[in-house]
Amino acid sequence: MNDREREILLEAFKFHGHKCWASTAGVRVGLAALRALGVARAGSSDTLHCIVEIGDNHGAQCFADGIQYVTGCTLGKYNIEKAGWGKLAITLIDKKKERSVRVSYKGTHQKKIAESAFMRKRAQGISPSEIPEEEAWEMVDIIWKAPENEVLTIGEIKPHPFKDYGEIMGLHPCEECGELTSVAYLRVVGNRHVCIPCSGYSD
Amino acid sequence: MIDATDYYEAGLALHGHKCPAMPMGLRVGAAAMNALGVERARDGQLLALVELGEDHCATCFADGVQMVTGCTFGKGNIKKLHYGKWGVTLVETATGRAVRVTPRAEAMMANKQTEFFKEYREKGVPASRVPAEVVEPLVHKVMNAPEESLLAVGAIFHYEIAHRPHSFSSLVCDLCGEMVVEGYARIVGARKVCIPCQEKLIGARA
Repeated sequence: MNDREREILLEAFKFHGHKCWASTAGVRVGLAALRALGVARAGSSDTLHCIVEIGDNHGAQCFADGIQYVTGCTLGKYNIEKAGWGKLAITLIDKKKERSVRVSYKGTHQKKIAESAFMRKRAQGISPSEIPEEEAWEMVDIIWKAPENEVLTIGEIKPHPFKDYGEIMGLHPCEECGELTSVAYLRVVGNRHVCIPCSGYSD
Repeated sequence: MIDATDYYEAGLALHGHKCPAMPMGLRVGAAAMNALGVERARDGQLLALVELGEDHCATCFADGVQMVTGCTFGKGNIKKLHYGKWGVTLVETATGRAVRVTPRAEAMMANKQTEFFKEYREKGVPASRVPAEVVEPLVHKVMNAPEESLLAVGAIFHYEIAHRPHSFSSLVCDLCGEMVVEGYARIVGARKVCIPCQEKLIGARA
């Protein structure tokens, strides 16, 4: 991994809030996927779409922050979604060329990671940001410095039809609370147009 | 005190283009943090409930919230409520102290009555391809407007958090050989497999 990539890793950690192996894995997976498709980081929501296979409430979801930072597929641009499978893999789709690649993280070094000082402390319930810097780097580098074929499986480029509906642009104040609401989310109660929480409907 | 300005450059690097919604997320997030008197979440110290939905304009707002609060998609401490609104409820997880902050409708409507929206965004031009001189005044306005004209900060209240412990156990799927979190593994005969492999084997998921 080169110096520029190391800088990206540092920026990703800064965004994420702490150093950990899963966000490191996300950065490597994201970089490999961009390279495989020959595309640049997404600066707007119309170029790339990412399906990340993590679920909810499990360890190593931090993977997705590495992916967000590197690919530019972010929660805010809504060009990232979870598959909910509890796995550390992504499918990155080039929406313009309608083709995709799946890259997954390989657990070759998981035993080494589990036995690191950092992970032993995590298992005792210590938060990542409270563990010394050098112990964090020691663990991060197990993944960062590993040869690519030991930590990643890069799939073939495949055709991937993608129907992009684009954005719904209108906004309107809710007639009950007065707060601005996207028109697609306004609900009808009698002759009034109101937001979901004011409507009493569940969605 | 958290100053949204300190997070603008980093927010822009994360988000990838200039628009008024990401900065609005920074301002709303910073105001919520200051109301609670909390620092950026390095781990799971804060939880953000954002009222955005999908596929509507100004969802970029969420990237500003992510950057300033440290509540991120990866850490799982930011959740969408899908109301198509821009309110944010920020919760200090250790105490359950919470506050809801929302941009004022007038401030967001004013952003909509601009060349940026009328001439570019509503005509389908992505924000990253709007000329800088068109978008920069909007960004400047959002970043520098007095807080009281831009947003409304609610009263501090108690939010009950359902604490679900994180699972750290994982195993290797017997079919594809990829790692899967234990709770997501499925049993097919004598094999422990991941959800997509379960679908392949039995044509259904559970």
